[in-house]
Order: sequence, then structure tokens, then C-alpha cells
Amino acid sequence: MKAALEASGLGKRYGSTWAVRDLCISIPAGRVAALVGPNGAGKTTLLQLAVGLLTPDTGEPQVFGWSPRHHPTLVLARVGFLAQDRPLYRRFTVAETLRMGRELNPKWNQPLAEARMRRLEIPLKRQVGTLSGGQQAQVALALALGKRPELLLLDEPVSNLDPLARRLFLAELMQAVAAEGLTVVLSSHLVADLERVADHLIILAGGRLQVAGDLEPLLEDHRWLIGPREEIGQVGGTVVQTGTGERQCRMLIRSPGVSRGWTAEPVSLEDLVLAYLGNPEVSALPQPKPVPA
Amino acid sequence: MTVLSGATWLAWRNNRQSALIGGILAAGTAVALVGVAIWEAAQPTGSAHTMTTVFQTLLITAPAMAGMFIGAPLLSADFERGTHLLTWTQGMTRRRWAAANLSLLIVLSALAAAVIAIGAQIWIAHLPNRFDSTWGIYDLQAPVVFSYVLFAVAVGAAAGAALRRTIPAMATTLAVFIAVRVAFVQLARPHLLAATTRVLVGGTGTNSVVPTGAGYFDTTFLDSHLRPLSPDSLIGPNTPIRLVYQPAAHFWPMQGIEAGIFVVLASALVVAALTFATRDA
Repeated sequence: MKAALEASGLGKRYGSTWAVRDLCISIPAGRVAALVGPNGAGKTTLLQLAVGLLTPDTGEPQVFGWSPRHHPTLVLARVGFLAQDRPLYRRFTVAETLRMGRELNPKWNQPLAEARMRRLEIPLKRQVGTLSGGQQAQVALALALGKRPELLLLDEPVSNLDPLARRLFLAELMQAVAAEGLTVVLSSHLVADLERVADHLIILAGGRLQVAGDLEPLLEDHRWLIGPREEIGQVGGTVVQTGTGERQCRMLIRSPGVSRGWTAEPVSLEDLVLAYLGNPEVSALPQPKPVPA
Repeated sequence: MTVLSGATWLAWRNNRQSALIGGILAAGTAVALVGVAIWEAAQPTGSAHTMTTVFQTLLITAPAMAGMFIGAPLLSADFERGTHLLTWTQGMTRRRWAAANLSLLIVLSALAAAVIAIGAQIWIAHLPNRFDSTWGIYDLQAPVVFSYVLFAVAVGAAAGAALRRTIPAMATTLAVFIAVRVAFVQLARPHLLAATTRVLVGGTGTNSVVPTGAGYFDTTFLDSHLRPLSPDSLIGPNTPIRLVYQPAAHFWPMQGIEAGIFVVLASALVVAALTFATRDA
């Protein structure tokens, strides 16, 4: 089974600054991957490289085995893309926006797109520019989903939306994921948005990969350890984050060793993300697979 | 417009407003030109000519206007609004998107330019003895008017694709168009075809020698050895004169050559626009 999105040694440079550097990722088909990182970490660059909006300086991304540069139409037919700030033609009506999808995409599903608009009570005759932010986001999502993509790339899809619109957008997205079984990569710097939807996590820091993997094993592999401050050296595993109080010490540890006198507590996605974002020099990456002899 | 499909539909939908306004202006200009020509023809000869200056200005500025307001925004508008990220990630390549927009621009501009140029030609044909010679209205003739419109919109499209901002692209279009046009008229046009040279000695009147309908004169006073005189020399009635001019027979061939040059330049600019427009986001 081919990965939905795969790359090794992927790099993109603007002048002398690397926006993305030496990136090795493999997102299995069917996952909903959360792409997290501070502003400027390279999230947008990675997504734009994946859909062929940018040409890499090193490496080559592969979408279901196809390079966006060498097989643009094969990749574009499989990938739905929602750019940051959700660009749409504001003077188009909703119907014209859907027509654009129909005119430009060979696998376009018009009944599905229209049904989605009806369900969300977005009138087809309305001009896109007169819709609310949440409704515009839904139109943009309908356009990306209407082409029946196998991989959906969403760049900060719910930024600047009110909480209700956020929830509606993510609900609509998850419904499509459940119905179509597509792979999703969505970037966000708001972890709360991702908690309900993601089952795969990628953290970028300074253009490099910091964490990559399925969410459940990652959460299983990390624990809060709380114990006496003086015994800090006796704890095994990789320390991601340390917080020391007067007597007690609270550490987020990856692959912790068993230690007496220490209490282990499960970590949440938010704990995990914030700990790694706060300590960009620590990483949790999958080990290279052994090459069969 | 249900006959259009694919990328062409999108290009039309995005540009139909400027296409409509441009079309109305072009048709209006042509109708006014023909209308005035018919009215002029009905007047007794020697009556005052109306609207001549207005039409001259209109015909000379129309290409620049088309370049600025139709050519420059064509591709830059998408980049400016970020909607290129939307169109480039549908099922078609960026090249298709750029090619559809540029084709629409060329076809509609050529149509509008032809309408204006034909109108201008009808108007000129009905102006009795208004101008000393046809060379005086060289810039208003159909071939050059048509080719200048195409050239200007191509400059606009290339500038818009390269700069990806509408206002700077419009300013660049105006500057480039004026610079190329002025330079061409000054430096290239008089030499499009080999000029005729005549040397007049012994006070022969130039009017008796130069055939009617000649243009682009260059007059040089000569000394007795037929070398050009320095500017501060004294000149008498018998000072020899060298005349260089384009004979009347060269008028239409020169129009054709000039129009050809600008159509070729326009084609090169369209190719450049296609290259600029498909660079990375």
C-alpha cells in the first residue's frame, strides 16, 4: 500500500533561508494528520510542495507515488487543496463557484456538492462575498471535496472562524472522511481544533521534522512523571519537558523507564504538542525501518 | 455563456466585465468615427471638420488604455487576491489557466482592435483634403492602430504576470508602451524601407522635384563639394540641398511592415507572459 504523502530529504529554500529542510515524512492512506508548528515552521510550504504549487530544491514529494512536478494532472486529480485564508472568487455566486469545480475537475460530483450546500442552508444564488466567514469556509470545503480527492490538504482551515463555525466545519470534514475514507492533512496552530479529528501527528519546528507518528502510540509512549526533585536523575527515557517545584518535579517523558516513588499520568494531545513546541531541540521520530537483506 | 467550458469558461467569467466595457468602448468609438465620416461626406466641401482632434487623441491613446485596463489586470488580479492558489489546485495545470486567459485576451482584443481600426479607416477615407498628406495621419491608419492595440495588451499581460500586482503592472505597461512607441517612431519608422535621396543644385524649388504624397523628409544643406554644411554656415538661394524622403508608394508597405513588427513583438510578449505566469506560487 502506497503512502498518501511521502517524501525524503525534502527541502525548499527562499534565498538563503530554508523554509523546509531535509524532511522525511510518510503519511499512510486513511489517516487524518494534524500538521502543527509555530508560524514560520514550514507548514504552508510543506502543503504547497505536496500539491505542486512550489518546486522543491531538494527531494521530491510523492502523492500516492506520483510526483506533483512530473505528473501534475495525476496529482491534481487526486488532491483537494484549501489554501490559507480560504481564497474564493468573491463575486461568483455559490452556484458559479460549484460550476468552476465542475468545469475544472474531471471527477467532479455536482449532486454531492449541491446537497452539501442545501444541508448547510447556503443558497446557491448568493454571492460568495456576501456569505459569512463560516459559510465561505464551507463553500471552499465543498469545492475541495467535490472533486472527490483521495488526499485533502487543508492549510489553517478554521483560522479566524468563530467557535461554532469551527465546529461545523470540522464536523462536515469528519463526515466526509467517514463517508469517503480519504486521507487528510490539516495544519493548525490551535491544538484544541485537532484533538477531536486527528489520528496522526506531525510537528514541524524551524522547517525540520520534530515529531511524526500515529497519535495513539505517541500518546501511549509519553507520560507525565511526578516525583521527588532530588531523584530526577533516576528516571529513564527522553525528557521532553521539565517543570520543577519546591520539592516535586513534573516531567513529560518519552518512553519512560519504571521508577519507584514516581507517579505516571497520561498526557493529552495538547500537553504533548505544547511540550514539543516549547522544546524544539527534542524530537520523536520513527526509527528507520530495517532494510530487508 | 454556456458554450464556453473548462478553463475558458473561468477566464470569461473572470473577465467578462472588462470585456463588456472594452467592447462597448470599441464599438462606440467605431460608430462615432463612421457616423462623423458619413456626416462629413454630406457637408459642402470646405466646411469645418468636427471632432478631428478628439478622434486623433482617441486613436493614439486607445492602445495604451487597453494595455493598462485590460492587459495588466488579466493575470495580476488572481495573484493579488490569492485566487491563483484556488485555480492552480483544481484539476488543470497552471499552464492551461494562463493559456486560457491569454487566448481570450488576444481573441477579444484583436476583435476590438479590428473594429476600431476599420472605423478609423472609414473616417479617414471620408475626410476630403483634410491633411497635407497621408503621412500626417500615418498613426491613425488601420494596420498600425490594430497592431499597437495587440502589442499594448500583450505588454500589459506580461507585466501583470511578471509583477503579480495590478497597479505596478499598469504603470509599467504605460511606461513601456510609450517608450517603445516613441523610440520606434523616432528611430525605426523612417528606415523601414530604403528612402529616396535627391540632391538639388542651383536653387531648384523642392516642390517641383519631390513627387506628391512623399513623406518623412530629411533636408540637409550642402556646400559646393556636396558635403553637409555646419549648422552655423550661411545659406543662400543657391545652396545645394540634399532631400531624403519616403515616396508615396512606400506608405502601405511601411504600414504593413510596422504592423508586422508589432504583432511579432506582441506574440513574443504573450509567450513571456505564459512563462512568467506559471512560475511557482
